[in-house]
Formats: sequence, C-alpha cells, structure tokens
Amino acid sequence: MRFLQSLGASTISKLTAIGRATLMLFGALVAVPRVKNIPLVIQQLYVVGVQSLLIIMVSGLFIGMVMALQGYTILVDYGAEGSLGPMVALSLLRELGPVVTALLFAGRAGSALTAEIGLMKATEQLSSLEMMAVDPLRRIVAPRFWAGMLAMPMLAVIFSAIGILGGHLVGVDWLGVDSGSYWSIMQSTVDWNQDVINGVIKSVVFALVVTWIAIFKGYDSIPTSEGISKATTETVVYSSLAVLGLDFVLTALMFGIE
Amino acid sequence: MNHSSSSNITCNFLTLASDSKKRTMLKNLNLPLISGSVTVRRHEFCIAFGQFKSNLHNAFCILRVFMQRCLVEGRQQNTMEHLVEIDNLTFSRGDRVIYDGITLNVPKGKITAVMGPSGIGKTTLLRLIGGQLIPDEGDILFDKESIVSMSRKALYKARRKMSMLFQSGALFTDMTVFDNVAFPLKEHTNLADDVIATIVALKLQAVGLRGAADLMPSELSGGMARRAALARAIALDPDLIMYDEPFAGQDPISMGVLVKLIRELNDALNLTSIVVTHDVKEVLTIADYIYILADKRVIGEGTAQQIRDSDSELVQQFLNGKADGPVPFHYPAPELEKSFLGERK
Repeated sequence: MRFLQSLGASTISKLTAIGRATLMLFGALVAVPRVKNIPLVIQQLYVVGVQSLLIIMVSGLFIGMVMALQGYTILVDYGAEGSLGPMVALSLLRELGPVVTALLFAGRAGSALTAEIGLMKATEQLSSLEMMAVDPLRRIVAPRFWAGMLAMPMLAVIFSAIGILGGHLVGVDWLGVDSGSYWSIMQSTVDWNQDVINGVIKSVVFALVVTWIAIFKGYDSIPTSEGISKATTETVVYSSLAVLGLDFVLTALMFGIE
Repeated sequence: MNHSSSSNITCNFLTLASDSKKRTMLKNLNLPLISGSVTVRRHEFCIAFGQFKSNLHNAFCILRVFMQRCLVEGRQQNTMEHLVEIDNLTFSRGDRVIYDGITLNVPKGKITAVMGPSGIGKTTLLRLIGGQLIPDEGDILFDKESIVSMSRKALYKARRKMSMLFQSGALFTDMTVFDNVAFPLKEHTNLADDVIATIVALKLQAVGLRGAADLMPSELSGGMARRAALARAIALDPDLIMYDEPFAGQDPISMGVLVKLIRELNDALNLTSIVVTHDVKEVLTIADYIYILADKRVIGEGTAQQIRDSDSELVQQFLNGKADGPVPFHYPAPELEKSFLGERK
C-alpha cells in the first residue's frame, strides 16, 4: 500500500514538473523577440557556443582519428580501406556528430546554464527582476534558450568537419590510404538530404531537449547549495539519457524504414 | 467676415515672410520703424516687459508649489490615505499556515515598520504585496487596485511603481554598480545614454557610492552592496519601497547610514516605505507606524510610543528581547522526562 502511495506521489510530482517545464518554455517563447534582447542572445551565444568550441573541436579531432584507426584495421582485412572516407564521414554526420556534441554540450554548457540560473534564483536576482517589472523568463531564460538552439547545430557541424579531417590525418597521412579515394568515395556516398540535413535535424532536436532541461532545472531548482548541486547533476544525467533515447527514435524514423 | 479673413491672410503672410520683406512691408505701411528714439524706447520696453514676465512666472511657480504642498498636506491630514491595504489576508505554505486573517494598512508618505520574530514570514508579506505570491484568502490593494486579481500585464505595470530592497541586495553579479543602477532605467525608459548616466550618478550620490560606480558587486562590502541596491531600487522613482531586513548583519556604522538613508529618502522623494525587520531599536527611531506580527496575526500596532507603552506581554517580550515568555524558548517537544524514557514524539 505504501509502495502504491509513493508511486502515485512521485508520478504526480513528475507530471507537474513536466507541466511546469512546458509552461516555462511557453512563457519564454511566447515573448515577442525585442530588438533590445538581441545583444543578450549574442552574449549567450558567445558563452554557450564560442566557449564550447575548444572541447568540441578537440573531441571531434580525436573521435575522427580513432574512427579512422579502428575502421582501417577492419577494412584493410577485406582490402576495402578505400571506403574509410565514407565510413568516417557517415558515422560522424549521422550519429557521432550530433550525439557526442549534445553530450559534451550538456556537460559543458548545460550544467553551467543550470548552475547560473539556479544561483541567480538563490541570490534573489530572479525575484528582484520580477519586482523590477522585468520578466525573468524573457530576460534570462529566453536568450539562453535561443543561444543553445543556435549554437548546438553549428557545433555539431564543426564537430563532424573536424572529425573528418582527423580521419584524413590518420587514414591518409599516417596509414597510407589513398587521399583521392578518401575524398571521392566520400563525396559520392554521402547524400546531402539523407545524411547532412538529417544530422542537423537531429542536433536541433537535441539542442531543444538539452537546453530546455538545463534552463528548467536551474529555474526550478531548490535555491540552496544542495539543491543547485542536485539540479546540475540532474541536468547532465537527464539530458544525456534523453539524447541517447531520442537518438534511437530519430534514427529509426530517418534511416529505419527504407 | 470678409475683413477678418483678409487680415488673417496678412498676418500669415507676415509670419511667413522673411525679415527683410517684413521691413519693407512695414515701411510701406508707414510705421516709424527706422526712427532712433522709437527703437530705444521699444528696446527698454522689451526689457521691462521681459522682467515683468519672468517675475510673474516666478510668482506663479511659487504659488503653484505652495498650493500643491497645501493640498498634499491637507489631504494627508484630512484622510490618512493608504498606499497599501491588506484586508483579512490568509496565506499558507503547504500545510503550514503563515498568516491567518491579518489586516494591515500602509499610510502614504510614511515609514511603516513590520516587526516580528524570525521565521514568521515577514519577507513573505513583502512578496505578497509585490504579487509574487498569491494569498489563499483576502485581498491586497496597492493604490486602490487589487494586486491579487490583477492581470499579469497590470501587475507588471504596478510593479514599476514599487521596488524592493532584498536582504542580499540581489545585485546582478555580472554587471558593475553603474550598470546595476542603470538597469531598470534601460529596461523601462527610452532615455538617452547620457541622461541615464546623469540619473545614475545622482542616485549613487544619494547613497554615497558615486565613487564606486565602476566596481563589481563582488568588490563591495555588505553595507555598500545594500546601498547600491538601494540606489537601484530608487532609480525609477517608485511610490513604494519595501525593505527586507535592511539592518540584518550590518556593523553599527553602516546600520546608522542605512537608518539615515531610509528616513531621508522617504522624506526627500516623497516615498512610502515598508521596513520589515526585527531590529527593535533602529525601527523605533525611524518608523511612523509599527505593526508587530507573531503567531500568524498582528499582535500590536501603533506609533513608536504606543508600542512602547503596550501592555501586551508578547509585545513586551519582543521589545525587550526576553528569552522566555509567550514565545517559548523551547521548540515544541515532549517533556524531557518522557524523552529520557525513549519517547521521541
């Protein structure tokens, strides 16, 4: 009986949290974008986007290099090392680019967003904004949301591009795959709509989910040091799980049924 | 009819015509414009008339200010107007009842203090007035309008007329003191940057922090941060300012500065102030009217003298800081003997 009770209570609290999150997103998005707020979005774009560039580029490079190394050892047994280019490019564009970028973004920028908004709440900055007749959803939450939505697809594309170059470095320069076949087979195999655009769509969806979770967890956090640390952890955990789960769903929709 | 319309046309023509044309036209009308003596006399007349006009204007200004003051004072004396009226308010958080039907009025232009032991929800009261929380029952009127039933848009409009000084100051940590004070002006007005700079300088001068304009909030001491926040709170010249524990954790000097600022700003800017605090001594010196809250209701109200003379035990315990009394020293618990015998609850 007690088990049922606690199950019910936790379900209700989860559902109300989802409701609150939707309301928050709605409140932030329904705001008419004002010219005044564009500098805020650009500022946040710098914080979540430009400052994440280094980790994204380094990870992209190494993942591309590892892919080429692993791919080469398998492909060379079948004498198919010429297909290294499309292998690296397709796995990056379709899967690893959007997914790993989203995971890194959740750890690098998402946690920072949660902690920042949570601390603003704890230090009464959000309350004081409200008392100054400035809607914190518009002033604080909306610019961060849009910055995340804009930054992540761009980061994912950069990640894939650097990864392909890393693959080239290992495969062609170190392991001696023919450079011409690396690029030309890649060009003939990779389809713009099927691979590149689908990858970008994935990453837009991940951007929505990760940024939403991050700002909601911050906005809804319990304004104590314990509460904020819990919210930050939850941001990373929930958004990572959501990204991996959604990735399967999106892949099934995009590539599953031909 | 015909005549008037033609003279109108002449007038319009005269105003439209350039100076040289006017001269020739007036010459044709045989007016003695060139004559030296007439010019001198006209000049003198202009000066005299100008002086007369400015004197008259000054007299009118003085008269107007005087009449306004008379009106304001008369109004204050005749009917004690209330800026904030709280009527039979009940509010609870979860199962815990915080207020049970309290009624409280804040007179316009005065400093009203709300005192009470910690943890009875004094800050909650300010949040209720600011419309950040919604009461279970009862009504809160701000300037005769109900905060509770206001639309969101109207609430945001009303909030421009009130401001709140938070206990932590709540300065934006990513902006300098200057930008913090300029923030509400930039958000709510279309003033030019140099005008905003002037206003900010004046507000910071009022709290004595003009020299600290370029510091970041992290570089300020607690008292300075609170003063900077005060400058921000008065940036838009609000009608009402709410102070949440302004004296908590302040050294005697900054406490003195804050007491002085609250009093002086209230009188100079014709504000209405609500001070929520438990610092008895400071409040009794500055407050015009005092409410003491405890046990979910108002247990005492009046001027400082009336409060001092109150015969309520609870009020006296609070004023004199007695450890035990109607507000018990012990948190509710079973008897000590029983707890030794293993009974916890």
